[in-house]
Amino acid sequence: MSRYVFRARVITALLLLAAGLIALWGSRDLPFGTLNRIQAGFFPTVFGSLLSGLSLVFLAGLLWNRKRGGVSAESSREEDEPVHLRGAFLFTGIFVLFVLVTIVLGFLAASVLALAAAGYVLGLKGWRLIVLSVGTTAVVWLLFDLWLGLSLPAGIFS
Amino acid sequence: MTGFEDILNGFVSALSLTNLLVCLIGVALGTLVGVLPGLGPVGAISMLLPLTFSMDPIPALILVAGVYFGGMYGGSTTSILVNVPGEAASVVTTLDGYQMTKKGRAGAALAVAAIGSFVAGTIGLVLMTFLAPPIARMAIKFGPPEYFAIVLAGLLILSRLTDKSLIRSYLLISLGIVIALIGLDPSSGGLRLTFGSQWLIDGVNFIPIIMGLYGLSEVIGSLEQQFHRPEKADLSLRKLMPSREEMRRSAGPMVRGGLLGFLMGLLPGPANILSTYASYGLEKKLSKRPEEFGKGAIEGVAGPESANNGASAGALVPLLSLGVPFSPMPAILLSAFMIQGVTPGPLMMSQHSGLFWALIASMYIGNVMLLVLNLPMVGLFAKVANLQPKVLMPIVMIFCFIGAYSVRSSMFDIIVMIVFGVLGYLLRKAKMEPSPLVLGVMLGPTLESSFKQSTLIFHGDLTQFFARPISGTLLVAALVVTIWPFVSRLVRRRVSAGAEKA
Repeated sequence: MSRYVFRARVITALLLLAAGLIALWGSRDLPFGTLNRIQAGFFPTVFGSLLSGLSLVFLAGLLWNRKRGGVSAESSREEDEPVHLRGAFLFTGIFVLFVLVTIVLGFLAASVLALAAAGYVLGLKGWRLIVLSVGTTAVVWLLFDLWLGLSLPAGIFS
Repeated sequence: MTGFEDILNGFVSALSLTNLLVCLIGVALGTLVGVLPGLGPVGAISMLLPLTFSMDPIPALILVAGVYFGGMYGGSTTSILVNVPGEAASVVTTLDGYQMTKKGRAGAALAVAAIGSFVAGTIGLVLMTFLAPPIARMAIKFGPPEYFAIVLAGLLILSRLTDKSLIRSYLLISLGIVIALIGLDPSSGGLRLTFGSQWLIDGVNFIPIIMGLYGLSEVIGSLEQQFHRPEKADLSLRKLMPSREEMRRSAGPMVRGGLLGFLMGLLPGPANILSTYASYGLEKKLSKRPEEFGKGAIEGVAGPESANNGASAGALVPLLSLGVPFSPMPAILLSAFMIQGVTPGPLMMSQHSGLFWALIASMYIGNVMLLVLNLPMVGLFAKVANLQPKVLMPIVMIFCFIGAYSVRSSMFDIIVMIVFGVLGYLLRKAKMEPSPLVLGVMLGPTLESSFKQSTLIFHGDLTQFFARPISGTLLVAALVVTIWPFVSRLVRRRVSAGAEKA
């Protein structure tokens, strides 16, 4: 496997291990019960343990594979998928910005800003960017707010 | 009055101008709302139910049935075009449908989905018409041990279809089940894994999870698409429609998917989801080109889409003949019946035979309308796939946000979607298929509740699962399918080691 895939899998394994341990921690005070009468803590404990255990096995397998030379420094043609971390961080930042602006200024304002930011990052400029951000927001408002009656958050304007 | 005369009278009633118009409005609205991410057929029916309050029973139920089938088809459109499943049962369609779009075959994928839905819907309705009462009587023999066996077998068997590595599948299934446990415990009323957060009291809804894993992760990776642009779809009519070869390859999966979906739809639980995975696995097994699956195999769209519609028809059997909905979709249909003062069940055919057969007939007609309505729209939908990523991805992003928000009008669902969007992007880079996680989230609650009830029935004796014919057979089959690859690998190693020594 390529080093990108290896790194992504290691991060995934660590995240899943953390999730399993958090589940075990969160269910420590829940009653486990018996097979005769299982209680609230049974499934969280069983599956938290399974998640933690399998993550460790997965991680061990990855490290063993690397030790045996199963991780190549270069991508194979089959696994050649580009990784654009800057783009990933940019878009995640736009999503977070959307949530914050929605809370303060409402959905419509956040939508215009997020669409404009996303379009700009992808290379859209000028009047096309304005049409995309304002036009799409208008369609969303007409469709969801006016027609389907979904009440969109209005922030400080509510 | 004979059964055949009842069916004929049903068609006469369904073919009146008013009822035809109502059917057309129902399928059109259902398709439109089903296309909108986050809403799906359940959301579509819920939102349009108030329209039926002032209507007569027959047109009201025809409208709801039209929305039901239309919503099913609409959910697959976004799966194919932009990798955003409109509902949980459309997740499998993304595996090959979106790959077909990337190869410029969006039109063919959409057309096959529409034709497959029609074929399966027709098969399901014919079977429902003639087999409803006896099949429904068999289905009520399922109790908690059988529900548990179906779900566990489904998880074990279907996880093998989505990822070559069992550990990766089981990891994500476990994560999905843990997520499904967050919130109120239905039996004790206590809170689990909420860590004092008010937002987690109602649990984590699956719609934002699905939209994040598939839709938002696509947006996060969209800068990478600038370097690997999907092929533009050829929008000439000849290239838009499936080729003769594609139709030939789809025919078998459509029929098999329809039958499989119908049979699974008779069973309690999330039949739509399970039937799509089961159909995908079956077609991959039967295909002469299994290596194409996951890369744009037409069978990977035809089978699951047909199974989804077949399951929708099958799910109506227990509802109409017993008055018992086995899953959320028929439960909402039941509310539509109750609003009209009609109680579905064994007496429905005798007390409301005109309404019953008109409803069945209108489903046939609605099925045809769906095909007639959506096939010409394939070109329009395929144009969406041709939009440049710098235009399409921001629009997908906003529709994902609104779709997640529309579930419970909660900003928390948007935050969940963003978290799973990042996770979905990471899983893509790790080459780990996210659908086992979706399976775990969807099936986790049923797995837990059925296991709890079963252990109460069995007084803690787990061997009783194997004493019951249905649950025992399913569990043994699941264990065999799970263990067999390890056993066969061990045997092969021993045989080759023995051959080397010789």
